[in-house]
Amino acid sequence: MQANVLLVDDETEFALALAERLRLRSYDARAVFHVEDAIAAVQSASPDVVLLDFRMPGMDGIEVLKIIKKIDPTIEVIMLTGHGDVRSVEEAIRNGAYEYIMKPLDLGELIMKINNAKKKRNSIS
Amino acid sequence: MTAMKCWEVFQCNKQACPAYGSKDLKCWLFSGTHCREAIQGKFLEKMEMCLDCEVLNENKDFDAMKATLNAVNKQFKEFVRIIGERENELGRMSIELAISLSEVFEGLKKIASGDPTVRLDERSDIELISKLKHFVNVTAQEIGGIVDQSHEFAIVLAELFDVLHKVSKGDLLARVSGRSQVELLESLKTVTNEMIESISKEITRRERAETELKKAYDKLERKVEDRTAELRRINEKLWHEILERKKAEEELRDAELRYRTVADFTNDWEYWETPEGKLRYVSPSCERITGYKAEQFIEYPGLVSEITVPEDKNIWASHHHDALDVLGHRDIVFRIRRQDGQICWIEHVCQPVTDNKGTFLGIRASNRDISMRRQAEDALRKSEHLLLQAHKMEALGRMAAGVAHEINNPLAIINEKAGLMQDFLEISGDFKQNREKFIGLINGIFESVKRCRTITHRLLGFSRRIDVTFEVIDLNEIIREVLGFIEKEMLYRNIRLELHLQEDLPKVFSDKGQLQQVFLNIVNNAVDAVEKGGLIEVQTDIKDEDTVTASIKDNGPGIPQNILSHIFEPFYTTKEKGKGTGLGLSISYGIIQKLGGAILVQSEVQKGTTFIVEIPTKAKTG
Repeated sequence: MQANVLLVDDETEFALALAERLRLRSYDARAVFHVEDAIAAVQSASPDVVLLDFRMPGMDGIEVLKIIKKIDPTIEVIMLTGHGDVRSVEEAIRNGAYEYIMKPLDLGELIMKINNAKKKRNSIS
Repeated sequence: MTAMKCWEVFQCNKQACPAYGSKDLKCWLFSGTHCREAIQGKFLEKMEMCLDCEVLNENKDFDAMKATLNAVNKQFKEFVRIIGERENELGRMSIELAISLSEVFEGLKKIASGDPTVRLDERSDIELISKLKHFVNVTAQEIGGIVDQSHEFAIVLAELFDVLHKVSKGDLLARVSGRSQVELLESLKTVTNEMIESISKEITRRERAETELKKAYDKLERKVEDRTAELRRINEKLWHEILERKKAEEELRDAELRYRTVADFTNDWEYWETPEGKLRYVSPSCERITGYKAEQFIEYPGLVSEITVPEDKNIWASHHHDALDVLGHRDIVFRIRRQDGQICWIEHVCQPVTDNKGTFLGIRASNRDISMRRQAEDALRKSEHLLLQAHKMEALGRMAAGVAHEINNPLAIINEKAGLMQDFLEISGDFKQNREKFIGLINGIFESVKRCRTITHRLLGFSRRIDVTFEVIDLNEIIREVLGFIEKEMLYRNIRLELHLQEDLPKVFSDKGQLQQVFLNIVNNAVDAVEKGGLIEVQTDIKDEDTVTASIKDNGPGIPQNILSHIFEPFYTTKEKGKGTGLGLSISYGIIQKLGGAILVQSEVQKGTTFIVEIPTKAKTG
């Protein structure tokens, strides 16, 4: 069974398109555009993998990561970044992020990372 | 017997003698004759001679001798009588003489005791006594007269002394009175009175003259005093002026010494050029700046021009000409070659010198050695440039990162939407019309996104947000690999490549991938710059024990100065549209800075460009 993926990005167009592409590939993918929706979705749906943008309006991506990990430490989070800030990536990984990927992303690379994350979660839980 | 003749006995030949040849043969001695060489004398002497006479003896004439003795006897008797008479007379005369002399002595004694009244009886048989007595009487009479006159003389002289004494005391009216029987005294009185009169007049005249003289003297004295005072004032003024002048001269000397000392010890090379082009003064400091002594410049003023470097001779010549023609402040900067061959930068400032009438006295110039300042200025300019560049790069980096991030998001949307379109095409088997064309278009979008992503990722790399990986690297090997990438293109364009790789080049501890990117960018630029058949030279060197260099030189058109300062800025390109992003050099600059190295560029229009990359052998991140 394919992973349950939650996409969190305020770039609606991007998030919707990517979610649909993942669904076309049999992933249970859903996109949310606000932090509050993301937290609610994590609490209600408990996704395998969260694709989380670093820059969210109202709250920094790292903070959102910490909340997600607090709700469910087994959820794997892949950070989406538009600027490849090494220090931010390092900080995210220190706070439990599984991986990061730069926009515009390569779908093959993303799917590989999602699958690896799902595997990791399955091995833990 | 024949009588011997005297001339025979004495063998006399004096024929003039009256005895010579006489026949009576008488004795010429008693006859008053002169004979026998001036034998002559009184009777007794003749007698003695007669008795010794050789003629008498020879002749033995006794008669003659008797006659002679008779004559002698007769003479003696006469003598005795005469003597008797004379003795009587003498006795008588002696008595009278004694009496008379006694009277005379008595008379003289009285006269001597002051009694001139003596009178003697002048009668006497002896004439001498009569005369003597007469003489005594006359003398007594004369002395009596003299005594009388002496009394008158004494009285008159006393009166004269009295008058003269009064006169001497100032009584000019005193006169000698009375008359005198003595003519001399009368004359003396007269003369004295006349003399007193004369003296009185003379004194009066003299007193008047003296008064006048005193007046004149006082006047003269006042004049002298006035003149003396005037002279003193003039003298004081003169002395004051002399002191002032001395002081001024001392001040002048002091000032000259002070200014000369200042000029001599000034750090700058000072000189004063006369309107005739001669050097009136050159400060000793010229030797420190130029290596030449002041005397050398004074002897040969053209030395300044001679040691000016050929490139700056025109600056010096035209300035020098101007300075002499135009009265105004001038300054230039030029270079000279010192005596030891070193180049020295000179800041030359000059201005005309005029006297207080405005007459042009020449040019006063100051030459300052600004070599150190120039070096410092160059270093400062370079440093400022580097700082400015760094600030610019930092700002641009931040901007680039921001731009990259902002572009990445819409780019991600494009990417995903195109991906979704591709997904739909693949899923939907019904869509057959123009299907391939759509797929081609979507792939075109993907290609563009990919290209954009390359740009944004490079931009992010430029802003140093991409991590570096350090490892031990052979710089020569990296260069060979990079050249391998574009070897074919160079071959195709007939570009000649010359490699001068230092064999024992130390390994560097750096980021291989990023160095490859840097060299690829620079070599690509060189390839783009040269024409077909151009030349690219790549060389590696050891700069020092901590740094190695790689230089890429092309013989392309070169980069103009106004462009050279912009080539490291992002998006700055001189390439045709679509051929370059304008990021290659800016990214290379960022990478090399991050790796602790430096990129230098030297370019000359129409000759070519050389990029020199300095890389530290040990990790030294910027």
